Amino acid sequence: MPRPNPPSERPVLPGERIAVVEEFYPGPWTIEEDGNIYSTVTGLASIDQRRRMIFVKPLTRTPVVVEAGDVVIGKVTGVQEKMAIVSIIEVNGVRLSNPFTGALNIAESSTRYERSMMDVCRIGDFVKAKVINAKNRLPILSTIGRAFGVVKAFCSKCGHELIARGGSLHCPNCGNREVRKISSDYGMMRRGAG
Amino acid sequence: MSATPQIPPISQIEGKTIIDLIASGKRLDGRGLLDHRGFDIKAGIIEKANGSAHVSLGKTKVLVGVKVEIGEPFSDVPDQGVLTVNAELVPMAYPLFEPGPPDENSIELARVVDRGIRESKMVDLKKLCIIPNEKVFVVFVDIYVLDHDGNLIDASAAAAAAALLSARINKFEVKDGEVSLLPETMPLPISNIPVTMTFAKIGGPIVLDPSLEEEQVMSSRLTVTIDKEGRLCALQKGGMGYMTVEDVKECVRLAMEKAPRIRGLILEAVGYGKD
Amino acid sequence: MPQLSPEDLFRNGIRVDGRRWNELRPIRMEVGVLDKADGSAYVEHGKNKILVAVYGPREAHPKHIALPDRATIKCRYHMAPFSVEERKSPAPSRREIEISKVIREALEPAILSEYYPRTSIDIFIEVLQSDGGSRCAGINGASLALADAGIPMRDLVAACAVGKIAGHLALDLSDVEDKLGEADMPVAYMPTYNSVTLLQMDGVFTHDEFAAGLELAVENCKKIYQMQKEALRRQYLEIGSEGIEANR
Repeated sequence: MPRPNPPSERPVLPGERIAVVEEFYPGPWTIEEDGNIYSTVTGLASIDQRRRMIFVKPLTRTPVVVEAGDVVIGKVTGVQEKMAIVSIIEVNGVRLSNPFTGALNIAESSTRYERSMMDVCRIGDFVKAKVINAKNRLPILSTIGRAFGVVKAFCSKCGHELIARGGSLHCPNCGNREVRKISSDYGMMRRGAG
Repeated sequence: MSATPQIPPISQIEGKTIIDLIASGKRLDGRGLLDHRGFDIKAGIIEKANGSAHVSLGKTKVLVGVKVEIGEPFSDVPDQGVLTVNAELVPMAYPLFEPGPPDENSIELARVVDRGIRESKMVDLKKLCIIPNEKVFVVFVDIYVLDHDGNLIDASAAAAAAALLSARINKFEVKDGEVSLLPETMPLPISNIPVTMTFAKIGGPIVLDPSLEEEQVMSSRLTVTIDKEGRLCALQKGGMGYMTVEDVKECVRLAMEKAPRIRGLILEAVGYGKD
Repeated sequence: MPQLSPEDLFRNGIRVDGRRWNELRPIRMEVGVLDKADGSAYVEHGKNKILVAVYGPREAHPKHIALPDRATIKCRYHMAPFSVEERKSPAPSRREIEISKVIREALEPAILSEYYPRTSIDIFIEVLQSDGGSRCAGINGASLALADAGIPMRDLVAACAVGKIAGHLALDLSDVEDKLGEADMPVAYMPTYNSVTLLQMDGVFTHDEFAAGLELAVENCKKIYQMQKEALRRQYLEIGSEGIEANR
């Protein structure tokens, strides 16, 4: 097995030349220009000997944007017949300072046939979803899978928070019953988002 | 807040053609890289203005009107007249110009033209003082962009210069602190004539007087204003890219070299100095 | 205020604040000074006190400003009402609108905006106290705030101005020097690319004065660039890797 990276990590700053292309391939947080490789951030320049690649480990925070494969939590801000709009507020456990808007299509909402998006989620609900595509920073979400779906929902009659019981949701305030695609994490959302 | 502008889709299609052509030393309209489209300047076409000029620079058309009124001086320069430059990007001139308060492009245009006039001391503002601290002439230079085919700065600067050169104001007399205007007129006190030239960096090369298509693909532009002594009196870099230090020096050198000829064109058009 | 003449500003080669012609004012830079912003910096440049915050990349608002192939850079240069002798109206002046544009254009070439299409990166520059050269100090702070936010950049942008007082070339004019001087030329520069990203000038320069002035500005942008790097080093590289845990 290849050894992990050698300890030769050195501090670098944005715009600092860290190698030439004859030596290494430019890796993450670097840029190649006219045969030179520069760091684009403040961090530690590191070498991946196996791939002959130089990259930088940022020491600053780095932009949090939504990528394919991320697990996100968002608030449903719009529901149409076949699609819902979700305002993403958390990416892989990291709270965003500003939300990104994602879309959830009914075909990606669950493995069973959903007649209407209203049976999946409703405006004001919080959902946990997986990002299946984030091209052009337009996250397309999926709630297929046990862990995904609504994690917090509110009664459409009285607005009280709903409680999960036996695969459906019911309102402890008015007794109303509602249908959603429920996540196995229902009711376990931390920090009381929203 | 200033935001990165949208790029019109057409320029994204034609962009590469323009860049490749310029790399080979040619331009879409057949000009050499450092050729100007040529000014067509007509002065004195708005009778109700004190001075006016219409300038065509290729297909770009700009009308400048100069109005002179009596007003109060600024408190920090109580013995000087007031000069203000404003620019209107008239909606008829270009599909993306919209009515409303001036945006950053119109403000930049006005302020770059203003700096050229002000810093070259084109108008001798001291001579526009009527009663210090109380009454001075206020010169309004209003730039009206009528058709936008690129390089609004040079067209506007030339039109503003021609309009100021052609402007006439009433002679006046002061009796017991009261100003009365006389029927006879006189030209504005002109002490310099700035010439403004804009260069664009497109790919590697620098071109003079970019057309609209060229502006849409340029990485940056540099506007250089030269006074009649051949000195630099204003600079403004624009655009989202950069210029090397050598590019900047070259633009300034070229502007100094080309300024006298353009100044000649402006003077000829207004027949300045004939009266 | 006593009436000064341009000659008073340059006596025996010494300027009113004791500097020589080619000296910068004292500069202090600090990175990561605000809690909520994604990146921030504070710059003192002589009496200029400038705070810069960066937010983003975040979803572009309003939606129509989003660009399909890159991030939209938004920039606001704003002066606090109490930043100058006479209270300034907080509404953006024409000067501030123009400066916001030229600062944005000075930073655009440095930011690798193509990595974050459809988002916006917002830069807020607040001039808390102004004393000549605030756009340059604002650019110096904005570069640091962008770096603090971890937004990938080709290079840091460093800026300073040169001018002319009583016929002498002078570096980094203060407000009084700018008002009484004959020329002022702010320059922003990316050292790695030897390129100018902001250039403005008003006043009168002969060709030789301009050429010497540009050289002087570039030389001192390089000095400021070193100070910027030092500020980043202090914040991130001297404390070892503790910074990593605080973030993602």
